[in-house]
Amino acid sequence: MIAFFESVAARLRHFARNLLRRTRVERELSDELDGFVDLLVEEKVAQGQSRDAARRAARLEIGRVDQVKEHVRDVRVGRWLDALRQDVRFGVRALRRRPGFAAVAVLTLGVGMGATTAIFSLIDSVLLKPLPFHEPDRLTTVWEVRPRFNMPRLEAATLNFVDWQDQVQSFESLAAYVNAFVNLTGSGAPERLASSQVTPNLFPTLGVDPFIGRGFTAPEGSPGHTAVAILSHGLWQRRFGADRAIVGQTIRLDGEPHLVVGVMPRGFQFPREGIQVWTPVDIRAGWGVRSRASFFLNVVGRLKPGVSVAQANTELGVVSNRLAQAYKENADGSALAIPLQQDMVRNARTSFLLLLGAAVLVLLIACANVAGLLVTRGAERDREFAVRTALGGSRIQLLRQLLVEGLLLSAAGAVVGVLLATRTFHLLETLVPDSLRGAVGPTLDLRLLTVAFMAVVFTGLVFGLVPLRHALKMDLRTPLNARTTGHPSARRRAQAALVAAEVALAVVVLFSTGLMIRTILNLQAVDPGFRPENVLTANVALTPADYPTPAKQNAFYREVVERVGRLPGVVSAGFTTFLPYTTLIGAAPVAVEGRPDPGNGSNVANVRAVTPDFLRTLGVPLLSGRGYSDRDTGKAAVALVSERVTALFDGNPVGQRMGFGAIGPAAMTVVGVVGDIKGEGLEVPNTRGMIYLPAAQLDAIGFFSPRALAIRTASDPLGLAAAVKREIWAVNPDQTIADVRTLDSIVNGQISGRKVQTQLFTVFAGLALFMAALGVYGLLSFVVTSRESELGVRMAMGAQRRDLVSLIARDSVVWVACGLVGGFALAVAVSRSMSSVIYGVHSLDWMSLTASACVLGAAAGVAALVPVWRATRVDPIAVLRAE
Amino acid sequence: MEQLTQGAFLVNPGSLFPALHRLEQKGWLKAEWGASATNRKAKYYRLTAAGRRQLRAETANWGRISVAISRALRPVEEGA
Repeated sequence: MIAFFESVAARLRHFARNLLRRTRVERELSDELDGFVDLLVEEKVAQGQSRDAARRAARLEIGRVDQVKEHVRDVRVGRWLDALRQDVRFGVRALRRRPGFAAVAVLTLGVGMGATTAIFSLIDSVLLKPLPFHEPDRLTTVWEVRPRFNMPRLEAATLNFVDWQDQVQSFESLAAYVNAFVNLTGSGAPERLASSQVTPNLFPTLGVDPFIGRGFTAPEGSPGHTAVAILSHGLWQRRFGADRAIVGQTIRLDGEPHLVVGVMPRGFQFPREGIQVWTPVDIRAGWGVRSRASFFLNVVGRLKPGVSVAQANTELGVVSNRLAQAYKENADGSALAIPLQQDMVRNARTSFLLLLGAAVLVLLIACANVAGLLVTRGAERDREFAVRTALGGSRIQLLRQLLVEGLLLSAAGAVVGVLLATRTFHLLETLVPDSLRGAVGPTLDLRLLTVAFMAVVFTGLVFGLVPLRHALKMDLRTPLNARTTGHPSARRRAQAALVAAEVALAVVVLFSTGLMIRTILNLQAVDPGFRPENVLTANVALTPADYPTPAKQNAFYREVVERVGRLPGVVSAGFTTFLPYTTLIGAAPVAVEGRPDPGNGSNVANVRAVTPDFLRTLGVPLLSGRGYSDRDTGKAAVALVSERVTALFDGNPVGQRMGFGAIGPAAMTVVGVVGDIKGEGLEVPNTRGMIYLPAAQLDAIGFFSPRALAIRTASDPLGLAAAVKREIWAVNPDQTIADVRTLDSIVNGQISGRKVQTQLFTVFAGLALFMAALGVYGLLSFVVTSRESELGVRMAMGAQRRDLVSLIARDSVVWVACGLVGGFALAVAVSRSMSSVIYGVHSLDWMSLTASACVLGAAAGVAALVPVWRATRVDPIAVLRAE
Repeated sequence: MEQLTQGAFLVNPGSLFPALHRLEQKGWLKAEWGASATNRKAKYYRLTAAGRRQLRAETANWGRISVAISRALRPVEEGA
């Protein structure tokens, strides 16, 4: 054993010596051989030879000194590294001799690798890296499932949540939260903050401790207890100067004093980016609507160690069955736990994997392209290899040389690729799901570099090996004897097959892009049920302490609407509870006078309080009856229903009476019917209708109180933002104004992720198209060059230009057609995986398929023009003279 | 070497020097510079402890093999 280590140590010592002290090692070798010759001479002189004869004999005996040295060098430790250095140096020289070829190859590969590594970095950061919580794989979300509501999952109802906490044993803890906004007043300018109302056990469930201070404790959040709050690290630094003494101080949230008990660590964001303050709510102690049919709690749970999500779901099913039997509202209801990470990324997984697929296709096309270039270049290098082989270079040396050149190209490509990839990170950020944005994002890290390295080896081997086949089969005599490159037909076939493959892969990328573009067009054409253009919106939530009654709030709304309405360029203005796509919750079961409760939840509708001009401002059409007026204020409560709700009524609802759940059916009279809006998302069918109540008739301030302002303008809405703010501050200088943006941007937010995705697909498609065209160009150029003499002879024999063109073009047309057919087959195969990310278009859309084929065919045609033109310009005289 | 083996093995320098260097890299030989008879620099090799161990092992091994081979060949010789 010791001997083994000694031997290893000796080898290492020599390795270092051979590597680092080359000149000295070489000099010693020379000295040693000189010394040897001397000894030999002495020996022979001692045997009686004359000095001259001895010297001649010694020299004869040792042979060629250089050869002996070379043999010694061959046995040196680390010889391979030396060889590699030589190969690399030679490879670099070979590439520099052909800068055009090297540039095209490196750029092509760089773009392919850039696309792949960029998308991988996105996938890595969002899908692969664990969430920044303690043992995140034990965390799940829990949702209510009500098949009759037509929604895959619902937030939890309070009473059901409490029953889950009590009865489901699979979870170590179950926590809940509701997102909200609060006005921060007092020190400094009033500010509207994104907040989350959380059960006291939320932070322990996630396994994250506050950075300073403490978390919430159990009685906090119950009515009557001191109001407390925990700040985000960002808010603490920005607003409170990172002062540790903030813990124990009181801040005013929505006008109420709150004791700050802690600050969360930097980078902690839950449930989403931008939450700046957490306040506790104790659901067990009676916070929130006590109901089994009002779904608004987001639930997150930590599984007990060793319990799987499947086991938890089984138990949730058992408990749900028990609840379904006990309570009418829970009939046919169940619950579903989903791993937290999976839930946070939702649909991102499929679309990311599709993007990665497209990027890898582009990389493969790039590889095929460079392989094609190398094959033709191989033809030019036949002579070089033949000469080297004839001079004693072994085949292994040639193979090594080719591989090293391939790897050099791909390494250079990877450098370009990684640089390109880092340039796209900010674009990719928009694809990160809301719940994770900010916390994670594509970055240049070791994992990404590893992937880039693997891509280098992969591509280097793929296209490095293609020319190897030819190098191996090469017959020395042909290239050495012939003036031309011998028989290039095998190379032509190899290159044509590569071009066909490129075309096939390009068809797939183009086809997928076609589907994505049609999806975007379809989504943009969806009628949301209102007119989103030229509407300015803002969040203007009132602080309850300053506006404690509906009357005071309505006076504010009225004055703001009046003042804003007087601004030049304003058409109308109004307030509502929530704008479309901003909040989905806020629903109630509708009770219609004279109609029994269907008892299955199909009568649940979204409820929004609005000021008189709001619906006109949004552009929601009035279908029958009348809209609101300023006179709808007194005790004669009225309501507007959307078209979908009319199904609950017997005949025309106008004039009929209705109410909500517990309030009883005769609370208000329906005065009009308005259009439905697609408020739950552009691409999902509506599950609920809308009830609009006059803000002036709300009994109390609270959840349904209007807070969103919408202003229809005659021209660019954002141009009015400053004037609108001035008018609001004229009414109340302490009023917070947040989220000033156009309604268009809110609607577009629905498809912004898709748009970026489609842009990326379009870029990939452009690259695929360009590279495929480049491949066709390369193939035909090669064909024309290698058949130049044949063309010249044919021409001299009287062939027409047309004949030459068809001779050159025939093969390539066949190969491109083969590629197209293969591409169709591939596209059909992958189209199924697209079905979940497209909208309003069949996954086997023939239009996209035809369009991609036409575009590719046209590009191939254009690429063929120059080589074919060159074929017709072959000068027969020159060719014949050269023969 | 030539003298030792009475001319059976003729080791030319193209094989000798690579072999010496290989043994040195394995730590079985140690090289020293010395002076030749004409007072010029010459490199001398000496067995190290590890080299001696290796030599013993190889010698023993060779002994086994040569005995085995001569045993295996004897019937052939006798038969022939």
